[in-house]
Amino acid sequence: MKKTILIILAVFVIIGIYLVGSYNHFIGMKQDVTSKWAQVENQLQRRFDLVPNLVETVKGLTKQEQTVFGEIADARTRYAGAQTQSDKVAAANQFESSIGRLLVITENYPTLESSKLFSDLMIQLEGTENRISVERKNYNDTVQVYDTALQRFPGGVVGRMFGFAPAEYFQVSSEAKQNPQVKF
Amino acid sequence: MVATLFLFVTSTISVKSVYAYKNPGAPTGFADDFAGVIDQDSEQQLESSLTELEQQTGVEFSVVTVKSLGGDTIENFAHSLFQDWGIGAKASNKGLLLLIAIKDHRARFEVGYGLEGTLTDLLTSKIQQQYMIPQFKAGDYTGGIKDAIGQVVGILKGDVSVDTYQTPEVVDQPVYVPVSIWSKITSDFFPFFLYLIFPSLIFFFQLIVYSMARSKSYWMGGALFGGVGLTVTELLFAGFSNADPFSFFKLGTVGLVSVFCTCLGLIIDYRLSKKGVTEKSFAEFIKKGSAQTGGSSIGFLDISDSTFGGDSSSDSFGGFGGGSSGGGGSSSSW
Repeated sequence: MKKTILIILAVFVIIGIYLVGSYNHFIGMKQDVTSKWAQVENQLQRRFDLVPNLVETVKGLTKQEQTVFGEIADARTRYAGAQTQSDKVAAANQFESSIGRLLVITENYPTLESSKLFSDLMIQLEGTENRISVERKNYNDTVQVYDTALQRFPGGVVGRMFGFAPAEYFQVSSEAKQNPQVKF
Repeated sequence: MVATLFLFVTSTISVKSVYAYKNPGAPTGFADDFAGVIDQDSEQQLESSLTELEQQTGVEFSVVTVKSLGGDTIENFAHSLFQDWGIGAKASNKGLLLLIAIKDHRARFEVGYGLEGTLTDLLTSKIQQQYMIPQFKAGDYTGGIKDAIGQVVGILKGDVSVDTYQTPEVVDQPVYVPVSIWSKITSDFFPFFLYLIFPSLIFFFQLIVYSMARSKSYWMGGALFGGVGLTVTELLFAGFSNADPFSFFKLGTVGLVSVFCTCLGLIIDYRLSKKGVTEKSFAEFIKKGSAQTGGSSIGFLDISDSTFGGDSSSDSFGGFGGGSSGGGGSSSSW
């Protein structure tokens, strides 16, 4: 009788410890995901800050192509006003496709390439795009770890009991997959 | 449905193609000429110059030439190599990689997090354009590499001014979200905890059982069991907010479990108290108990080195410090 009581007590507490450890493990993973997303936002913001200069240099030359500038400003506003992560992602993707269109337009103006300011901005833009790509990959990697852990048994069951929801991957829209290239 | 969704997601995020990056080998020094385009003397000069740079400024500047990228982009290859070798000290992330792919006619400066403020994208791009590419176009790899490295080393040491290069650029700090020590300990080490705690738990429970049996009353068992049951169920439902329609369900379950545990505890204590213990002291009780259950559980403790220790590889070079880069830098081609 004594032994069975011991065993029952032991099982109770071992389950308790497992739950605590599992919860903290999920907290750790969730923090990873959050911090990696913050890095992504850092770089997206960096790109948004660069682009107005780019637009200014191009605007003077291309009086007829005003719609694209409107789209860029619109995407920027959308990103600034976005509350949820998926809104931000959508705004960022829209912004990317607008930038892509702007770059296509600049190809029609060969005088731009000799402009020092323009080529400087293109170098900075390329660097920023690369950073976004790296941080996005890092973010998606941590999301994969977290989401897989949430789907596993029995760990995932515990995680979902504690209220951990799966995180979203940062996906790029197919039309915005082109990185702007710097040509010399 | 979940399976198809999962497949879709992984296919869009996975970048593992046939043309993947391949580690060219372990670093033999700060200058690694895998493509064999730099002559011995120059390579030694570079090596000593870069070693001196590391001693003076703490910057780990690695120069690597490879024959081919294997179909990969120079950005991806440089970043992967940087992360693989861990260039730069872990704490400061002051790492820099100059990668030259001979057959692909591509070069790239990959800048670590800690140097992004000093070596901006514009700066590294201009150094490549002014000091390296013209000589590469003429086929002089040694000369181009030497000049470019000379400039960068000068800038890092503070000898060369950057006024001609700089335009104001956005500099951002990586965001670190701190994790509390306690949660890290419990999540990383809780299997170890289990092994260590189990024997002490046995001791602890024997104490409880002894106290319950010694006392004639049986409220203690009820209180103990009820308390444990209450906290565990509360924890299980921690994710539910009080506004949820499930909160009623939560309340019900918590209540039921607590009542059940309390009754269980009361019954157990009652049975134990009735049975009683003959040993007058807890020490006697323990001794008797151990003899019955047979020894301690030290056999559980089998923590192998791999749980805690890492690999320690010792090359004559010593390797890099484990830093990382965020994709900063610039590429060029000729």
